Amino acid sequence: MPPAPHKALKKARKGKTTVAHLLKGCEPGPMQSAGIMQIIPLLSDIEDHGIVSPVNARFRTEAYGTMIFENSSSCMMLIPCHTGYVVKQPAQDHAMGQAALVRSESVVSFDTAMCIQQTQPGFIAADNYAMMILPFVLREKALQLRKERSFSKLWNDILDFNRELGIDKSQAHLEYFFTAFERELNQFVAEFEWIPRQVGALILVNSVVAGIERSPSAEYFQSVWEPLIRECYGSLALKAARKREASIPSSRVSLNLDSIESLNDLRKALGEAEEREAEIARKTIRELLDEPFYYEEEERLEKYTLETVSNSQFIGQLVRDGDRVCYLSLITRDEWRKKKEWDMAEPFAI
Amino acid sequence: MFLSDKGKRLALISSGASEMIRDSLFGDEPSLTNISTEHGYMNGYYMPPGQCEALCALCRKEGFDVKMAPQEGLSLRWSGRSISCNSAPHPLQERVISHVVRQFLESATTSTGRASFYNTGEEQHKALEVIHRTLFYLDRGLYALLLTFGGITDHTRQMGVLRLLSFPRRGDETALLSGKHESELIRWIISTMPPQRTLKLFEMIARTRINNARTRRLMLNFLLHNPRIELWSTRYRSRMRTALIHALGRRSASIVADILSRKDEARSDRERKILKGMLGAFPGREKRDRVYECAAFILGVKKNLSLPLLLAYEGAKKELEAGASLSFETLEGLRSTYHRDRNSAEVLAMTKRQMTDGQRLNLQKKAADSGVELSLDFSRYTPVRLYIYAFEMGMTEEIRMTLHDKARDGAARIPLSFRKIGVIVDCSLSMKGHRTQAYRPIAQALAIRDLLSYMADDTVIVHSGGEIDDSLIQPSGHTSLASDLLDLVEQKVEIVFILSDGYENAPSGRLGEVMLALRRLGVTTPVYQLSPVHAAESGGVRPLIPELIPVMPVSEKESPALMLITAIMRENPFKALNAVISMLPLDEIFKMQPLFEEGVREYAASPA
Repeated sequence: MPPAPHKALKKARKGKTTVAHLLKGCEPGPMQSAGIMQIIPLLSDIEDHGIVSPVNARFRTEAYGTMIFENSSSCMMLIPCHTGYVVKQPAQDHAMGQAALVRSESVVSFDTAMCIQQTQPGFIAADNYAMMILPFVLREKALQLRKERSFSKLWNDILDFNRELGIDKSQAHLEYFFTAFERELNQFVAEFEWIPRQVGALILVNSVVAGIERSPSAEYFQSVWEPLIRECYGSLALKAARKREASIPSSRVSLNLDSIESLNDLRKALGEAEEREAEIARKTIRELLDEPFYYEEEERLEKYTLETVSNSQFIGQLVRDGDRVCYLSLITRDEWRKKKEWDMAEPFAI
Repeated sequence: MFLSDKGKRLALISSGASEMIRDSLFGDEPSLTNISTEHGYMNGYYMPPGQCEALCALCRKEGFDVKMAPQEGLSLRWSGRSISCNSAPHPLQERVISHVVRQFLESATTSTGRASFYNTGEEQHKALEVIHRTLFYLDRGLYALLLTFGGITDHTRQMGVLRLLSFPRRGDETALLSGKHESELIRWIISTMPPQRTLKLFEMIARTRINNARTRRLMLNFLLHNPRIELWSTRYRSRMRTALIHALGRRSASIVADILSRKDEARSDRERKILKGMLGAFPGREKRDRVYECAAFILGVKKNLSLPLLLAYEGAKKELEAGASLSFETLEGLRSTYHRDRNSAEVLAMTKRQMTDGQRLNLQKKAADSGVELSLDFSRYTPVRLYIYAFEMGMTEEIRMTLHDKARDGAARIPLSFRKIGVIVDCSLSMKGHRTQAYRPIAQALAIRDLLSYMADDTVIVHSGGEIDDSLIQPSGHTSLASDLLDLVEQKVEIVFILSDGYENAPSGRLGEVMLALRRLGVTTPVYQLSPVHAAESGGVRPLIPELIPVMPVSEKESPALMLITAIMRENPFKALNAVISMLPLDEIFKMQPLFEEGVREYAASPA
């Protein structure tokens, strides 16, 4: 029996789209690996240069829970799912509950955004700020609450998130996490590099797929690379590392040093390790559930459509231009990860 | 294990005992990390003596071995040419000196205070503060001396001078240098830095409100007794104003401005005396009038101007052409405020004759876009600047030849040579650097690559990653160095240099595995990493493989010497320190005489 759609999809419709279709036109690049996190780059020559990221846009807030973006470019601006701003000025930090589109040369305000700094008053002045993307574990909940007009809707989840990471404060301030783990997050982002033609990535933590990201163009993906790796997936890797899970994931191929007796052996072992890693990358993509997504249309702007999608493994959002997928941000569902953890657990033995 | 340090002691704690420290009341962040000792890597914690004893007791109770270094601490002696120790240092004291000095040299030769590809400017600053503070506590004289080393960046010098001025010497304080020597050394540093950097330092001084007599005297001497005061008054007017007001004090500056607004004939004897007391005495009326006029201009007095550049500045507000003798930036600033109908290209054409070498290089793109021809003599620039220029403007045959000549001449001055060396240049994306210093890491790596290639009969160079563009390597892609190392070993090179920022990811640790396999196979080829980037999270340069490949900072022409020094530093810190000191321009520093400071001294000693 097919699984029910995620409760975040209120008016879910059954679609035919699968992960294979969403990644059409992409090929896996060489896997990058550091600690428990791995990234399989998605390379493609199919690009849509008519969409820009908000990395150069001006942003401000004028009311709690309202985020205002100014798109001065001549292209459509796509605000990635769960974009947020943590600023140094005395003003309330904010984050979006979903992805959004902003027409060229226009200013759009979104009143379903979330405050992520419970006790800080003040509004963010219009300027160009470094963006972030919500930590992975908050994203599923944020997506579920995306249509609710309440600036405090994520506070309980932020408190839980901070508490799980050992930050025992009674205010829901996401910046506590960024401050406490600044060094570790920098380390994560330092370990990975965007490569040419890269439009997306499969992110693995402890050898399990955590998310899939695809952008309209390589340039777009490069602009959101740091917030994705540092804040979104870095926070997940950090959480997993704190649970003292395996330090070297099984998908990271190590050289068997004991079998090496000459330089030729070493050369061969290197080649084999590379080939095995490439095979793991291919296998990881093949193993993604070939199960169609439920979808709910959120917005239609010019030729682009924003949808929220879910199947039993993933939940996220995508932007299409007709049948063509321009943007994709999928994260694995909490429920699926728990099941996977159970499936991967060692059988009981004494 | 303890070392005395200005009332505090340094406890070195092994990793095994670290958890106990964290769980106990001593659980502060370590001041020093990863100090290599014969008992393995240790972290250092500064703590008051009482706390040290409690910690010692706790360690013993928990079954850890406790060793004590001499409690009186390490006393360094300065002969004027070399450093020695009053008594034989404890091995742990040697380790700490080695660690602190090495970490300082690594950061001081690579840090620019700007963000790197991986760290924000703020993170960089925090990490540098810790390194500076540690060496300063160890010995402020040694700290001051190391600031004069050739490869030290201006940013490090700014931080160093600020620290030296912020903490006046206590009467009982013992340090390697006397107070007089320290002041001479500071004067040398501020007079040899580019003026804009010195003025930035003065802004930092004003911001941190350091206004002791020594600082004020130093600032006034620099600001008022410099032959280029007229040019600086127009070019750096705002910074000069901040510095002058801070050095004089807001009220005194206002009094000075008021007196200077009148002609000399109209000033009373008392007013003349005040000016002499505050601004200093000058040899000859002509010089004095010139300084007074510039000081007045800096403080905002526009009346009675007679100096050509000051007249040009005021004249350019009405008619742009009147400012043709000003610098490009100054006139461009006036144009954008007073003559918005005129364009930047006109300013460029008008001011091109008085451009400095640096401006000529920096403005090439603007000049080309504006159709203005700016001649350049490439031989006047460092290889790193030439490479950055080539990345921005394109490589030409002339630049290529200049780079070759510079590398050849640079190598000839270094008393080191090899038979066959291998060089791996990490050309991954992170080597492009942060946008605030774009292309600097890769430019430094390429400059060192060229230098190394002239230091050997035969060189094998491998570029790892990157894309060849106009005969330059554009950094891009991931970092995978393992198979490149194997290539070089197979070609039987004598030594391998890896020019990398230290971030490997395809996959991380693969280079370490290959290194380990090579050592097990009996391959003993020395492998060194040279890093052009300061990494905040590692408190210095970031090693690719911490225990297998020694890492050294890259600082252009001093790099090979620095590389050897840091290598020696691990084994014999005093020998390495004296090698560093032998390279310092001590004659030049301690021969510098103060310039006409009588009046200033009088003022500084009895401030209003």
